[in-house]
Amino acid sequence: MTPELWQRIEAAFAQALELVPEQRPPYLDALAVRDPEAAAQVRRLIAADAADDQRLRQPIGRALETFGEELDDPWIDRRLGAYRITRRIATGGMGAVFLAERVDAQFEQQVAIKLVGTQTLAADAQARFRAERQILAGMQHPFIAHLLDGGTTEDGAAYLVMEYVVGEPIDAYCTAHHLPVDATLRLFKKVCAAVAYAHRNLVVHRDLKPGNILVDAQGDPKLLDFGIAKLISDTPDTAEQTVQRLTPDYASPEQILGEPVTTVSDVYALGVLLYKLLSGQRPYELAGLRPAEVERLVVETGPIRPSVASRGSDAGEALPAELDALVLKAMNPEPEQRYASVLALSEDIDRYLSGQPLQARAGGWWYPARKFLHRHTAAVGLAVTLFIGALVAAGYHNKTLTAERDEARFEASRAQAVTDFLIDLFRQANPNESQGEDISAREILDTGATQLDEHLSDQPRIRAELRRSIGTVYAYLGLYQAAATQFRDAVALHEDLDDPAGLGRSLSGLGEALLDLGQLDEAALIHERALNLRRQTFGDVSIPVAYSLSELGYVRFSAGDYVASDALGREALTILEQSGATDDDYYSNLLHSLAQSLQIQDRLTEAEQFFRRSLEWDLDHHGERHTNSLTSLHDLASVLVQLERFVEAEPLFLKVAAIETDMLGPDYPQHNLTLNSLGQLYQKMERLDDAERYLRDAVEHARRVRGAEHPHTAYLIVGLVNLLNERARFDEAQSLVDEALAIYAATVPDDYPHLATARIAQARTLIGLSRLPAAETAARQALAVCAAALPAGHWLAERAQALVDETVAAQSAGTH
Amino acid sequence: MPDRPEITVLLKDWSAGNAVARDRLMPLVYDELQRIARRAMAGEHAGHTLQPTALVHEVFARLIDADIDWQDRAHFYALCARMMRRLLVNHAESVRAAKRGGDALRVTLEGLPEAATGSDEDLLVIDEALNRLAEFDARKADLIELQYFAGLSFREMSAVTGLSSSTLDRELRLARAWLKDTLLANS
Repeated sequence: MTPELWQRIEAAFAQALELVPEQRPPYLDALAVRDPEAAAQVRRLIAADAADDQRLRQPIGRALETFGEELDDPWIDRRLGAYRITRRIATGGMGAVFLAERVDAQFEQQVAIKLVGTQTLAADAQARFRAERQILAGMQHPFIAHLLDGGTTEDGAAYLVMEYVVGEPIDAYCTAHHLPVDATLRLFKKVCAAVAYAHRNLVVHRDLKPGNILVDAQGDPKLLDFGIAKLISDTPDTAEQTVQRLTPDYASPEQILGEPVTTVSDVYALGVLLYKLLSGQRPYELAGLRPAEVERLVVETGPIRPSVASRGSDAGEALPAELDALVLKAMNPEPEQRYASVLALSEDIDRYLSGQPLQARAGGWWYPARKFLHRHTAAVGLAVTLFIGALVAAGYHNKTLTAERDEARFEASRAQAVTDFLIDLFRQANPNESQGEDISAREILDTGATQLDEHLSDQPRIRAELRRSIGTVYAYLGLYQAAATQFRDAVALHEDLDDPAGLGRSLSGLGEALLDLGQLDEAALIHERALNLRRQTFGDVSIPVAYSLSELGYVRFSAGDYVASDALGREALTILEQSGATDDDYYSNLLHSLAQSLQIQDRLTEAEQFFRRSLEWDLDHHGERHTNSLTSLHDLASVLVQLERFVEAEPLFLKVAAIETDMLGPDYPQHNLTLNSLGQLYQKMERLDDAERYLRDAVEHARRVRGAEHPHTAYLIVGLVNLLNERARFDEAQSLVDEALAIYAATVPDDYPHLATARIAQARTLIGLSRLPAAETAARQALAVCAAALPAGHWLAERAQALVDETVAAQSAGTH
Repeated sequence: MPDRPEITVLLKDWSAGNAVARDRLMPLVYDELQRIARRAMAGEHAGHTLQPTALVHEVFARLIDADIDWQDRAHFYALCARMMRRLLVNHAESVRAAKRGGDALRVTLEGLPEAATGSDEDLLVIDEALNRLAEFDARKADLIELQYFAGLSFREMSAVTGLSSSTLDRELRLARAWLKDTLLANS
């Protein structure tokens, strides 16, 4: 990176960020012509800018954490038997693992020492521990890490001294070495051989997982921790404890449910392991789920076939479907349906490797589908990619809206299953209609929506999640009616499932769609239902409840019921504050909406307070140079003007104007509004020269940026006309107001509200020119626009009426 | 504990351009960071985690007179951030050295998370990326240090560096984007 290039990148990056996101691609395209080198980098930087900074923050936080722990580690340098502890390797609720070396140092030998459990073992437990240790120490197998020694510390905690194995976890090894399917299977057979050896010695591993199976430099596996699970806990666990302790992805359903564990429990774990090795994916994402949820996912839902899952990863080789049967048989939730032994599993692998029919082949329901897919994969590919992209976006959106932590975690783990099913679904979607053409995301959505029931008839939960995701994507595409239909179906499914969290989210989505469709009453009912449900589910003070309150508040606001809307907004604010959820932009936006609502109701002092809070938050979180901060600053100043605190408002507007020019460039479209605000402010302060200068600048800016024929330009011209009227320069005013009216006539309908303002200005000008009949006509036209476009009794209508009266009176006075 | 007035004097000397003063200051700050970290871990509140912000502010409170001017303060926080980074990088490197032949050391106990080697490696990658950034834009690398290794808030950074919030925001945003992009490309 040269300093010159970096400078160009820096300038272009700043410029691009100041544009609204839609304007960035054209800007970058233009830049790519001028300066392709910088443009390429800026593109990447803009993308990176949008990502959160966890990649930076987390490693630093964690490094500090481990550093701190080591500083205060009483175990370092401590002696246990013939060994001295040199380093802590891992820590967990059940104990710790240390690296240690022999003190007598006759030869250099490093070992791993496991401190099992932090509690002192009772005397009988110590005896059992010794007995078990004898059995484990007796196991001698080249692929099993040897248990060397063990004992209890002076304070009675048990420890084990194990062979220290250097190697890579088996899954990482297979990935790193791009191991082909056949080689993976041969490696896996060695693992089976070690497990089978242990089973012959009546030792069940109970916790087989990649982290416990290391592959050494020779490419041989080494199994760690045989029987340790049993050794540590001889008392039967409750299901809850087991899930906390075990690695849930690899634990069999009977383990999770706290039922007796046998050698076929290891068969299950081996099945999951093989799934992972062959497909590159885990069959389930279970971390953080409660046992009941794990059970539902594993037992009722089941995994997608590994050959399908593997296509989502970058595994080079297509996975033969025969292996699906083999893997799924090993990891069948019913112990009786699995291979009866590790040996039987290993033998079926031999059959596969030598091309013989598999024992596992019996069912085979997936087989025709696979052949079909093989022919059509390419055509479906791009469309699926597009759709998944949309879905990921939708998932992200959902996550920011439902910040309740447990809920989000559940959602994240669910998302994987949903995505897997989607891939599966769309691979099975019939692409014949498309004649090999790429299918649009919309078509995929429609197909997915219609085929969901058929393909996932036995998985209502997944179906509900998918319905909601599809609904969200429809809403993004502006297809609100279609979105509402999906959300309604999702609501019905969640109702049957008795899943209040999911139901709340689906209702919330439905409410938003209905609001977008303009069905305010129905939207309000739906949001109220979501609100009540979330109150029951999460409690009154919870983030989902706050979101529901604010969503409902927005519906009330749209319906013009400001009192109800404000009350709801304030309640939502209080909840967010009580929940400590005030660091999201959502919070500041809520403050801002409340302020605007108060401003509309003319409750200006309160509005000022909320604008100030919103501004303070924006400055604190984004700094001054951020569009949110600018908006808050501008709106605060406008309230101050209404409060006639002109001297306070002036510096705020000036600051906004300066930052806008500096940060967003001279052509920032909103800039003329700020100029206009300044002009009107000076007009009120009776600094008429300053006022005229800013109002003229505003008009010029709008002509240049928006165009001379734009209604917005006309609106600003009318502002200038009002000033000229005040300065009694009616000739200038007349030509300008004619220009504004000509623009309106060409661009907007007759009942455009700002036409009333223009006609009122025109009437004033004509009065000034003593053309009273024409002035009366203009005033009456203003009145007509008010009647058509504004609520009865609007102040503009009153003003127009006053002008009519004035002109009529003046004319009759003139004739008499 | 090092003498407080002496450290303030060193700091002023360094601010005035005396590089020797800086070299004498660095180990003092380094040791103090480590000492305070150790005390915090061994402290009354078991189970709490270390926070860069808390550490750095405490080092400041212990070593420096409160009435030093802002340039000196800026220098001190920059130094603290640098030392904090060095402390963590040294530690991560010693963890890496404990692994033989470049293979990941993985011995797990049932129920235990795998060794925290991943985060140490990540830290070293960040360190490396920061070094690269410093080669062509040292100021931005310093700002990142202040934010992430000293844990200063946006306002504190603005006060300490004397940069306007707009400049600070702009510089940080670009520096962060560059780092995130570089880390992504390295992963």
